[in-house]
Amino acid sequence: MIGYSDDAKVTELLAPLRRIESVPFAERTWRRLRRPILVASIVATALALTGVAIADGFGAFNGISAAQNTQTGTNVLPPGLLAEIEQSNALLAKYPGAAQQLPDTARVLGTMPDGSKVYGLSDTRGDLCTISEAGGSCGPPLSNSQPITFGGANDAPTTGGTFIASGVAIDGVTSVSFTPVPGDGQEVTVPVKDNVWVYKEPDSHASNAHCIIAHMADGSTVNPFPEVPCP
Amino acid sequence: MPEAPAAPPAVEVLFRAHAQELGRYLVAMVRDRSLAEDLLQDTFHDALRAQEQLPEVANERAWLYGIARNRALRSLRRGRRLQRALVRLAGSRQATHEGDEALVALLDLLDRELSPELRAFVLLRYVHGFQAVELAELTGLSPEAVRQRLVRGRARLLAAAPAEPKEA
Repeated sequence: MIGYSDDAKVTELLAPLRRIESVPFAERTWRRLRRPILVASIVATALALTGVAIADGFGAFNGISAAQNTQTGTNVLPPGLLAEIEQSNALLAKYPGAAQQLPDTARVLGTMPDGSKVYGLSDTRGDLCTISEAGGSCGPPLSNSQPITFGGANDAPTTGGTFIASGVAIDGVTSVSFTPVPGDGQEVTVPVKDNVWVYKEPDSHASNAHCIIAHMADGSTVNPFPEVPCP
Repeated sequence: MPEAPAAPPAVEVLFRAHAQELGRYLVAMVRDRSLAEDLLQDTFHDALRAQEQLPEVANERAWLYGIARNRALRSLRRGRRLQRALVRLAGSRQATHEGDEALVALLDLLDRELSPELRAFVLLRYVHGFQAVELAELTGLSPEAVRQRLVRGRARLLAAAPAEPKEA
């Protein structure tokens, strides 16, 4: 029989366990494993250029010249993406300490090959959030040691879907190479255009990648995610 | 154009919100900080892989804990024999909470008295606040089966616990 007093005794007995120090969850892994937290519908590519945003990016856009512009109507998020962010923020609000994304800081960072735009915005933590039709995620602002973001997604990895890898790069990054996983082990190299890079692979089982390398204009390379093994 | 998923899964968001407490849970389960860190990463990977379930999930926190629990139990089953040997040899797990003797004694008690499965139930119920019904959903067992396990785990703990807990 379950007795309330026994319940209380066990709760009291186990109370010291609340002192256990948690283990870190590597923030960098978030960047490596960037996955869509916001996915816009296809119709979201139709921009509604309404209003003029006035907030600042809080340093989230450091090194991204495509974002260093005065906010105009073209930077305003389309309604579909804005709705997704509001939905995400509402979800985040349930968790104390979770950052809220700031739509008023949005800037157009670049354009995907299909013409859809990639937006950058800051959150209340000062992180850089990137959002496009393919999805979005947040992570610390970029730097010379971590000059790119990397996000991978596949709508049907089990049966074979479209693997989309994309990200943002700081100035000076000319291309990004990586090996999709799971896959045939072939490395792919994707050029960076206007601080944005994107790769699409149809009929793919891949949903992530390893051996991710940023290639710089001076010929050097940067391994932005040294914790990711490259077999 | 890629087909948009039906709803924003927000696995990253959920995980970020719960990573701290999941980490504590995993440390308590496996008593090895390095292993717990690996398991936390594995839990995140599993959650990503299963993110299509999320729109159907009523209790997102319980969903994440369920994944973490499975990871921990799998790891403990695989490494039980090796772990025992390591504990005997080095006592390295105690070093995880050096200086907190009460905590170490409590972890020893849990280790000694409860199987990993029972330990998972007891921790989830009495430390992380899940109700029996939630644990039933989380594990796929019936609420009655969960209650029986909780009763068993609790009885073993109370029988083995010192009458007056020693302070560190």
